[in-house]
Amino acid sequence: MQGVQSWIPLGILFGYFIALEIYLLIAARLRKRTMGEYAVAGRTFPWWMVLFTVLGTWYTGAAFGAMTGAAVYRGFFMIYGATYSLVAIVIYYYMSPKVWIWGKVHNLYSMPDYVGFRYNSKNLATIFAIAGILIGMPWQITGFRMFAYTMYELSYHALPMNIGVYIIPAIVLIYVLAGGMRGVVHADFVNGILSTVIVLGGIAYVVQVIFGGPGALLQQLVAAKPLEWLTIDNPGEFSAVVIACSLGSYCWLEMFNRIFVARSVKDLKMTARAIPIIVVLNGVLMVFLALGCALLPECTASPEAAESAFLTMASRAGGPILLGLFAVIVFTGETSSIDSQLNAYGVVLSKNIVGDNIKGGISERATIQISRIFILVWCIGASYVATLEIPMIFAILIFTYEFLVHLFPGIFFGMFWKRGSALATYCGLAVGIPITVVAMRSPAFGGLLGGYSAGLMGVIPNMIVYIVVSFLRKPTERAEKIFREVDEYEVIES
Amino acid sequence: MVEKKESGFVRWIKGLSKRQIRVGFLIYFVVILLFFVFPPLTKVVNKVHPLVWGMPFVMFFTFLAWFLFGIGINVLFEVENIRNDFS
Repeated sequence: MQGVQSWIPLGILFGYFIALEIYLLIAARLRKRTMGEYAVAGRTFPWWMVLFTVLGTWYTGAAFGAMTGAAVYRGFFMIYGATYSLVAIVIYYYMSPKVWIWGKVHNLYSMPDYVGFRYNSKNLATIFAIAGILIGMPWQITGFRMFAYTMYELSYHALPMNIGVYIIPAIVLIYVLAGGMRGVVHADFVNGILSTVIVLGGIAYVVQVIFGGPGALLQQLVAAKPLEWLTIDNPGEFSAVVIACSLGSYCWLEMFNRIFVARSVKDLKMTARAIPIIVVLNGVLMVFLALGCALLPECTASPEAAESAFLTMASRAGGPILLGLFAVIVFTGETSSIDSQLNAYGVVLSKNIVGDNIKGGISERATIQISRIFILVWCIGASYVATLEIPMIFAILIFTYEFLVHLFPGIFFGMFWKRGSALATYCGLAVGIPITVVAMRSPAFGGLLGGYSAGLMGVIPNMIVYIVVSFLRKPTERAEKIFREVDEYEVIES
Repeated sequence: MVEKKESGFVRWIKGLSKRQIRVGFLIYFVVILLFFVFPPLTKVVNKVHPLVWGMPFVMFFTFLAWFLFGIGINVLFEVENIRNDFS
């Protein structure tokens, strides 16, 4: 594509981000300099505002590339994304009310806050805070790199390679610093509405124009591809991915902030009710689009071509305008993930790692200032690191995810079981993590054990130890009391 | 003022305990989920034939399972709404 046309997609992308930034700086600034406002936006948002923030947990910008990439090389295996997000929503439906009620009653702002409160252990909260930040950092750097690659491709290589690493994080940084979680929720809402409309309309249009509709596409697939390609090629690995991803999504620091912003339990459950409708519609359309890209030579030429097939097909079906709109989806998907991560990291570092460990504590204003400085410094550092060639980055990502799932027993079991204790969490981690390390390092175990990853191999003993140790002790009086609070709150609210 | 009479279904819903409802639906979700996380069951549905509306069988089953997940959560929400019991 030559001349002016090649600038149309970039024009659409920047036009959208400038309009979004202006809206956010007017409508979503910090209203009070309190942690309640900065970290969880005053817990005031209705379900339709919370919806897209929560959805951002599973629908990142990278997910579009991952689905088309998986479809080209693994065929129907690519349905893992929508499947695990539906499983995660069921977990969300059962766990979010308790988290929200404890958060509201005890002014909790983050996942480590919840862990520290539930187990009455500041040390455990600090461990979860440090682990959450360390595990999340490489994923943010990868997100920044995705900005660089995608913008470079979008400009048809007219822009310098790394420009996206600085521009897009800067846009996110401004509204996160100015509005805290309020800015994040507003941004995710606008991004989510636009993405949903473009995905539903755009993908249906692309499938119709390129393949003649879903029916014709299926006929072409059955005729052109081996039958095994249309099935899940490794059910063991598939089940491991679904389990690990759905459990792991509740161990990200930002997940709890997304729950705390809702104004009531009913709003949280309305969110859980609406998300599957969007996930199923998006999921079905993405299955057709992603499988279809395997029929196009320009999408199967290389792993990079497969991962950018989402944009290639948009360009082929709708020219630079549809390419620009699809690029907006990819970028907003990723920014919707990164903005709440940044806010959560800032809150967790300033409160759980710094504030809670200084004798006498620090003021809310100081906590917010520390959080903002950390976010700024981290963004600059991460942008720089994202410009470097890091050959091990994907190995690091897998490595971190194997450890992320180890946080799950402590987070989840303690929510439903009064006997769950800090000691059980420590013991579970002490047994589970070494097993994961051994499983990752040992050639006998290999990377995958009958499809089950090293993380899952370690987290199962972690859970067993947690349960056994918890059984040995009666629930504390404090545990009885905080569980009673949930029941009493329920009566008041109804 | 005439009080609106509740249907038998609503009375039955209200007569169940919160635990019965939550566990009942959890079993429903787990049964669907098992087809995706328990490889021997996955293999049962992981087939191309018979084609259903032109779709490989596993694709049809996956879409059906997603749909049943969505329906399940919506029905659970409605049940809790009838009971005014959300937490």
